[in-house]
Amino acid sequence: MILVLVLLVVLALVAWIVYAAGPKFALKRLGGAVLVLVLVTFGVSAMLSFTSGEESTRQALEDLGVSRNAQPCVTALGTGASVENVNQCVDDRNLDDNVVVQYAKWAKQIVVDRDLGLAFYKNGEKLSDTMEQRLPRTAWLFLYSQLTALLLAIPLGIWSAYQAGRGSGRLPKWVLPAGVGVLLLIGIFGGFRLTSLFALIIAAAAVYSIFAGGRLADNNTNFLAFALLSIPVFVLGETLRYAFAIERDIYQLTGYQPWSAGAGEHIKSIWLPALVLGLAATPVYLRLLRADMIQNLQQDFVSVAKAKGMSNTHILLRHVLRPSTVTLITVLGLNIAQLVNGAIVVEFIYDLDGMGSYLIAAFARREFFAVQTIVALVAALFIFTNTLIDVLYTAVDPRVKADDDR
Amino acid sequence: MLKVDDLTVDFSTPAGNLRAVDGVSLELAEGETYAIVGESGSGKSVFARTLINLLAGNGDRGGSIEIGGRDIDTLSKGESKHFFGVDVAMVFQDPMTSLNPVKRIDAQLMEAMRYHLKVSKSEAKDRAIALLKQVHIPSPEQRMRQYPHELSGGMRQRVVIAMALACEPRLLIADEPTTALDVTVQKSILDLLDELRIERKMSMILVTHDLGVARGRADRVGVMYAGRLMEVGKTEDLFAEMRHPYTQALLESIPNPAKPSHTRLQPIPGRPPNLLDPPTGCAFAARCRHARPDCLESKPDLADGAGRIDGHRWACFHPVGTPEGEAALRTNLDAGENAAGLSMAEVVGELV
Amino acid sequence: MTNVAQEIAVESQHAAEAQAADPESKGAKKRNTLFAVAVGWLVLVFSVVLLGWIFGDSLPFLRDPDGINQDALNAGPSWKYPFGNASFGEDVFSQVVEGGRVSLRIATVVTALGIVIGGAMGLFAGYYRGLVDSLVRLVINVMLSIPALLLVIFIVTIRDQSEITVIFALTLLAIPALARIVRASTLQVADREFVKAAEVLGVKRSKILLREVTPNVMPTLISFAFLTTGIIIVVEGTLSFLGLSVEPPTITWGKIIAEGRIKFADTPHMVAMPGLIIFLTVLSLNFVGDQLLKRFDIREASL
Repeated sequence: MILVLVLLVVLALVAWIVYAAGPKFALKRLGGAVLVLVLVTFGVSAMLSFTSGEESTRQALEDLGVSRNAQPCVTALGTGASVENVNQCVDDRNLDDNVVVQYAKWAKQIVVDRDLGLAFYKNGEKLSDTMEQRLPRTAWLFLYSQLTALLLAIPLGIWSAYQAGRGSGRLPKWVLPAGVGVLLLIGIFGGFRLTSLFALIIAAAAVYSIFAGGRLADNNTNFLAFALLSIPVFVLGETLRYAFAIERDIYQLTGYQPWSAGAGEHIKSIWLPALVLGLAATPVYLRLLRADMIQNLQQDFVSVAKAKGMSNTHILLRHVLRPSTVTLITVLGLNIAQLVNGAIVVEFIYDLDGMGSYLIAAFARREFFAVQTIVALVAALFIFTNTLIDVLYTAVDPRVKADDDR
Repeated sequence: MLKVDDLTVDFSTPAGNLRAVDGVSLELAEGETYAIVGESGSGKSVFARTLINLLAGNGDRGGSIEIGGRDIDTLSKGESKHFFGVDVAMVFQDPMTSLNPVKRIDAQLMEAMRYHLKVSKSEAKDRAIALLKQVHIPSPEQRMRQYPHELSGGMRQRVVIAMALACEPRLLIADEPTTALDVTVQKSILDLLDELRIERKMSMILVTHDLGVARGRADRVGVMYAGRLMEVGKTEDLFAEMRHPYTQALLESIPNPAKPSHTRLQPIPGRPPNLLDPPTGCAFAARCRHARPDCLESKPDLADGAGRIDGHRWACFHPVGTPEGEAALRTNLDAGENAAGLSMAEVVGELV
Repeated sequence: MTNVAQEIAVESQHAAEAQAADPESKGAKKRNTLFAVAVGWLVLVFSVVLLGWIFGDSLPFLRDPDGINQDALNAGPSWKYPFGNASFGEDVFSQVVEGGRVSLRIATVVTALGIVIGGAMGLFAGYYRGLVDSLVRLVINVMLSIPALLLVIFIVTIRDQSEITVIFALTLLAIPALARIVRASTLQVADREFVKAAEVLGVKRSKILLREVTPNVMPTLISFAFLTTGIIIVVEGTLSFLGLSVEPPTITWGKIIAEGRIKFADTPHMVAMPGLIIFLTVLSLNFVGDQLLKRFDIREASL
């Protein structure tokens, strides 16, 4: 059912692409996309067929009465698998066929039969069922995290770009004692523990930047973004898990609650992982928006608007923001890689049973067919979005088309 | 209408303090056009922008500005929100970039009206169409819905002018309004500005580097160099009898069709001073054929110079066409160089 | 990101440079000191790891990373054990030093391979154009169409968890990324007049590529090499965190963190210390790479 919907959307987008960019160009791009997709999936398939292990293992398998290529099946079925089971599995998965045939059979099953195969061979769980159950979790995670990232990045980006053109003020005299007082409060409340220390440092720098304003604030914001960019997601995830779930009891690691369990429960179960992913994505958006805004702020029409007497806020939000969001919107669509990263790492850390956790399990259990399918789906999504954005850009900037043919 | 008193504008840059405007004072009556003439870097654009409160982040203003009798430093926050763009407006140089490319013409015209005058959308629309008609744009109703890139350069400048007039300002500042336009279009734009000015009894400050424009369109002229006014006065007086060597040099550097063909062009030697490290004494001394040692020591004020005919003032110790000036020139020619070491051969050309 | 989108995103980055390009400003001085600090940190980390490799436990501040210290089980940082201890009292600091050996080795090898192979690909594609270019672009697109982590996990799972495999997988990431950047840079350089002049003079194209084009592409390449190293450290760390990198008993930074998280409340230092080291190292690499970019090719840098 969902598949049909997806297919319709895809077709609609394809039609739009052809319309927007002209048939010749669109065909070239789409053709390229399909080619890449085929190559990728074939490559994946080929790699899989070379995993059957060393000669000694294969010989051992043969001696046992099963196919030489049965290693993945043996792993998938686990201990206690009979020879018949293994042979059946080998047959089902076409492990005995050569690479091309394997690929062809797989492709046929996916595209023609629309059968996504089994998630776990042993218990016969269907992949489509698994996806139906787990994919929403990953999707929500992605959605919330990107929303958080935008919520953080957009105001910061605007503010920082605005500050970039101003001189830094001197701090009023009362800031220092007030700042120290606030920090002490945080320390007392936080208990002067490990994570509070980090929070203190960042808070101090932030307060200072806000009050000083100007280029200093902009530089500091930029540096903060840079630092955030350099923290691996898993380090960030673990640190925040410690700070909120272990050191204190703010976040419960009780696992995912869907919307049906109530909005509050749902949000409570997922906000921290979403925050982690969001923080990881924020610096990317922040820097892009800031750079675009700075560029636009230097345009003449901004001076004109100022001369017309418009307030700074008005100019920032109504004149400059809109053209500056172009790159941002593009990157948003291309952040699928983040989705994968988040799904795998964050779901692992926070024990959410989404597609990421499933993938890890599938890898461990050598569920290669399922893996192949999922990789293909993800790659297809990736390639398709890329092509879409590419074509979008041609519609916006015709120079790109010419550059391509050079 | 406009009263500027000893205006100074400083910019704090990483390389030091830059004084872009150094004590400029002028007065403008209602309905008058005042042309500020100067080369690039003379500070005229900064001056113009300061009048409309468009000072860059690291800029500092000294002195006072009175527009329509109101000192802009005494404006309350609420008043200043609806002062600039209403009582005083500006027309910018480059029509290609002055308009927001992603907004339609009507939006840009109506924006100021709705923000400042709080008129309804439909009334603003009517007013906008009327404005477009006033600036002689044909089929204004269609043009309203278009984007800037769909209009030609001349038309865009007209729209920019219309935008500036949207709230009926009493003072219009035009910063090189025709520099970016074709010569044929220039005249029509300047005619338009004249026409509007007379109709609305507006005062106008016309910033330009083009002496011809200043001569033809202004009631009074101020020649600016290195942030200071070097010579001011009524147009006819100034051009009939220029006193400042800089003004003279400027006029001489323009190609003169009256002269025989293949006459050498007469540029002004040297280059403008570094405003980060300004020289003591007159800023023009290094390039001036009249420069004597006293020019290197102190800056002449605008009031100096005998014979102040009806507002014609100059800032020079040895002005052109006066006995002191002639004497200074003679001395320099004999010595072969001016007091700043500039070779007279470069400066005078034919005279040597 | 696609070629186009990436290029446009990069284009918009350079706008911010106009603000801060003044070499004498206070900001620049701050950046220079930071640069020195970053370089210093990198030198420190690499030296310590190197020394640990060569001299092992004979160094005064290093102990056997697997050595059991009964007196300090799961202890937090102390003077004797600056990074704290693990579940059997192992010295975390020594573990980090030894882990660094593997992590850094993998990162540098991968980056080196990436530079050589990816760089060559990019140079050929960007200079010779035509069929070579189309082919290389196709390869790049194919290799980049699977999200990084997914690809790497995939390869490691279907083969084995040896260092060779990990290096192989990570190299598959580094090559297309670097190739794309080198190609873009080569396209720019090849357009410049001195290259065209050499061609007109009849110099052999291969010589031009070697003598004229490559030296001008090198700065960008070196800068991105630093950035890539940082990324590889992160990916490898993520892998070993998930338990999918090199098998035990080999220690890597991600592994220590993975171990530390099991009994997090008791052993936060096992997560915090390696985490801090990774963060500082990657930050320094990113910073150095970014600053180098700024000096060589102002369009691409951001700070």
